[in-house]
Amino acid sequence: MQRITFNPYDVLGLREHATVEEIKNARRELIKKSPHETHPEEARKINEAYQMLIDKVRRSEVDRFLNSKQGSLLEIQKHFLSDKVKKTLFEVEQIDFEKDFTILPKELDFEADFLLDLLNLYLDNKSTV
Amino acid sequence: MLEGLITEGKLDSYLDRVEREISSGTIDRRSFFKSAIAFLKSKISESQRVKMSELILKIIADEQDNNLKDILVSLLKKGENVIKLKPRRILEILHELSSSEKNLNVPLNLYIYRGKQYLINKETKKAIELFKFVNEMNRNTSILDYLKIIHLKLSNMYISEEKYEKAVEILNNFCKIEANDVTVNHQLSILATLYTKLSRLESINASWDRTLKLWHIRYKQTEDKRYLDKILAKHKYFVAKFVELQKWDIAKKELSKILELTPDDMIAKRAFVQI
Repeated sequence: MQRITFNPYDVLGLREHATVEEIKNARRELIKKSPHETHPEEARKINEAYQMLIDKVRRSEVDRFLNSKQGSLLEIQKHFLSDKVKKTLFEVEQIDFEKDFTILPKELDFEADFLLDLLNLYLDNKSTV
Repeated sequence: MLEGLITEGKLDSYLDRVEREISSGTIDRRSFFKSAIAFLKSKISESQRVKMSELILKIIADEQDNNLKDILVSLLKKGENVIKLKPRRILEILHELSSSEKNLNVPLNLYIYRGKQYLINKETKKAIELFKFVNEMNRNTSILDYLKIIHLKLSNMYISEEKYEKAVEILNNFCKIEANDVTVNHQLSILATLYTKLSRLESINASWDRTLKLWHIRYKQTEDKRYLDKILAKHKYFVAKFVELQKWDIAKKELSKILELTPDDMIAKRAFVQI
């Protein structure tokens, strides 16, 4: 029984009911993008995932594992606590804290009526006028 | 007497009379100013406005009170209904009338200007008090925005000093003004999550309730998928955390929420059956 530490479907970007043809095509395309010479680690993982799925016995073990509690917990830890999830959850709205706080306009628009009310109030408060 | 002519609608007679009294030096200045207010608030023609401007110019030529002079000169600028003025000068005049200011309908932009002056002078508490006062008088999104930014800024300052309780207190103060601000509630949830012990996971989870509710409302209103992503991220994060603590029932509740929103999520589906 092989030890399963990752989901090979995820690595190859496949659905769980993928056909043999789809598995082969996925490997071919991914290796083209990440060849051994330049991406040895990724290529190794792609090949490992491919081997896990192309072999019928190993694939059935993978499927059993993924549908077990242990497999579910592995996937939860990987996908539900991923950097992407954390970023989405903890990313806060960007606020411009200096947003026109530091600039005072030289002039403002005032309604003429406000000025008339101000004059009225001024006259009421200044008995010397 | 002068105002009587205005009340009777005899505007031209009023202007003639004022002109005569100015020429003869018998004009009562206070009475004139009071009547000028009534006159300018009436429906007057452009020629009557020009005439009044000429009369005001004559009478203020020897005016000693600079405040009064400035108000009158400003009135002469009147073209349409809006006059551009230096707010600093208006505030100085208002300062002299501070006890009577409440009798005046001070425009919102002047309050904002004064609030900003406080902020520039690092008088944050005064700025908050002022904006809170204005918000109570006239609930307004731009005032709320200023209040929000000030509170978030203060809270960030406390976070940088590792005074998390103080940061939470500041944000809670803002929630007393506006309970349903999504950014502030989100920030509170984040603080609760990052700075509370994992053993209190259930209370941390509860601290997301309002944020989640607001995200759901936003998502319903805008159909912006980013809110759905945030909602799902919240449930996923807490599924994983509850699983870590082997709190299976609560983890399952969170999983069911993921499945309500995305029934085809294979990972959630499998986990829901298995755990």
